[in-house]
Amino acid sequence: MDKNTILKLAPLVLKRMEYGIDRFYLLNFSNDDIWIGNYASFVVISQIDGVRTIHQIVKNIQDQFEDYTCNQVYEAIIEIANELVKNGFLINVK
Amino acid sequence: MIDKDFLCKLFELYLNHEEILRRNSNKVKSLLCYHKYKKSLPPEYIFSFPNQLILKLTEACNLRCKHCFYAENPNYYNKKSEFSTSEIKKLIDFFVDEINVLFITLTGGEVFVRDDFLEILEYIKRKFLPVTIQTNGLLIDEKKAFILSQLLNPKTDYVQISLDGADKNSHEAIRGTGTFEKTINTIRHLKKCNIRVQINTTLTSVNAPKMEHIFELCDNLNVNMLSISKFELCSEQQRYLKLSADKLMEYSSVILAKSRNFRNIRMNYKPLSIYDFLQYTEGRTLIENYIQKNNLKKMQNKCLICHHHDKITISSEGNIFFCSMDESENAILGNLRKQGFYDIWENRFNTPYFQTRDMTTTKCKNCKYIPICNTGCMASAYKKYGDINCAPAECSYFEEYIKEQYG
Ligand SMILES: C[S@@+](CC[C@H](N)C(=O)[O-])C[C@H]1O[C@@H](n2cnc3c(N)ncnc32)[C@H](O)[C@@H]1O
Ligand code: SF4
Ligand code: SF4
Repeated sequence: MDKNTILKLAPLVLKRMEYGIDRFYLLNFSNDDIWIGNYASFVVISQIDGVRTIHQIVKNIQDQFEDYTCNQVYEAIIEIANELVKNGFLINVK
Repeated sequence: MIDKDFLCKLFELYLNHEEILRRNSNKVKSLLCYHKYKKSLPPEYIFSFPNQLILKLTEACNLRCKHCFYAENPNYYNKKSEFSTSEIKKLIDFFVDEINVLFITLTGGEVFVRDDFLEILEYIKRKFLPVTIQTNGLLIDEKKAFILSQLLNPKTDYVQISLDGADKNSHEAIRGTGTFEKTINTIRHLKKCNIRVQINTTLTSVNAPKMEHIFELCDNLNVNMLSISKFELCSEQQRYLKLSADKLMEYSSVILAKSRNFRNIRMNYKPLSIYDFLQYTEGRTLIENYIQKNNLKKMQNKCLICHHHDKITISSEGNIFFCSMDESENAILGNLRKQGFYDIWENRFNTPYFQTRDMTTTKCKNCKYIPICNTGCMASAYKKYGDINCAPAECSYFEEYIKEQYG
């Protein structure tokens, strides 16, 4: 996985943000797995659309959250994305 | 008059059915990820946004069933206020992509009356949203059943077909001549295409006498679930459809006893509740003994809001409701044609259904039956008493209890 990777949610994976408890869920209706993150992971995963590269997503997020450097955002995204690809919630488009 | 032994046996059957339902819901095989998500939430959690959407796509219908909620106002079925195809698609984009709902139920009226129904369904399934379709089934032929099977996922989706009797005469007395065979054929087509089917039946005076035969029919058709509901009286013309208290007890006992021979059929039998037993002195004694024997205690601080606001209904006119049991003017949260969803959702704090309803606020808090009753449907309470903290209309004990409590 690198800056040019394009990811999308795997088929039958749905998102769910519970703001009241700062929990973000991914529900995989094909194998019944769930993944639990927080609002930050929701912000990241909401950008993953099967069209934009990780680089473009990093730029977009960094524009919104100026306190973080591009590198910090990139590392955070790569960490979450790797885990989610491994567990079948995200798939590689390119 | 109801015989004491009969009541005792029926109470046992009733408890047994409740127990089976509880056990089934504990070992849910389908939609396990959804149950994991729900289980992981704190107890009494109030959802940030609804996670289930009931979308009424149209008021139009090809039938005029005698028992229908809308039968009182025949013009209802001719109203032309439904959303266009593109409006529906925009709604779906919003509720799936932004609100992140997890389920959608498509109902009406009759959804298949809309020429664009399959296009709407395809649009929803492109987003992988689990779908339930409620239909009378009459407009589904073999070809449509095949198209449905290409769109629906046997793991997450199912079709609910209304069958209002185990035999032609009962069903057609409610739904009209020529409807029974067609409905049965539709179920066959759907099952042949490996689509999950639930039969929805409303118990009335017309179909109750032969209802016990529904099990053989379900077995024969290989349906996945059977749901038998209570008939809601909506107009005086429908009064003949309502079962008397004694008749409801009599038929329920036959149906529940028969269901024990068909354990392969998952049934949810809703016409009978604890309130039906409370109408009889013997029934009250049975419940009191049961509470005592099992040492049942009332739950402390338990939120008694029926579904923790996890679902909303959108009518074809764009009105949003918390509960499909109350679609009166008072219960409208807002209208999507006039306001944005976020404004409507903010307004929920001002509506009766968002007020606190727990063990401290309910008027039932000192009732001796509360450990088994838990106070029931708040829409029914609100409709009768204008207060969600009262007992539901079905409770025949409430007024007596209030007199005892408050004089
Ligand atoms: C309003 S219909 C809409 C879907 C479709 N037209 C159908 O008949 O299945 C949804 C369900 O509500 C049930 N229903 C209608 N009127 C009812 C009433 N007065 N009491 C209880 N259930 C009712 C129908 O039998 C049906 O199963
Ligand atoms: S088919 Fe459904 S909506 Fe139409 S009249 Fe019958 S119950 Fe009502
Ligand atoms: S008074 Fe309230 S708690 Fe008691 S039986 Fe009726 S609804 Fe249930």
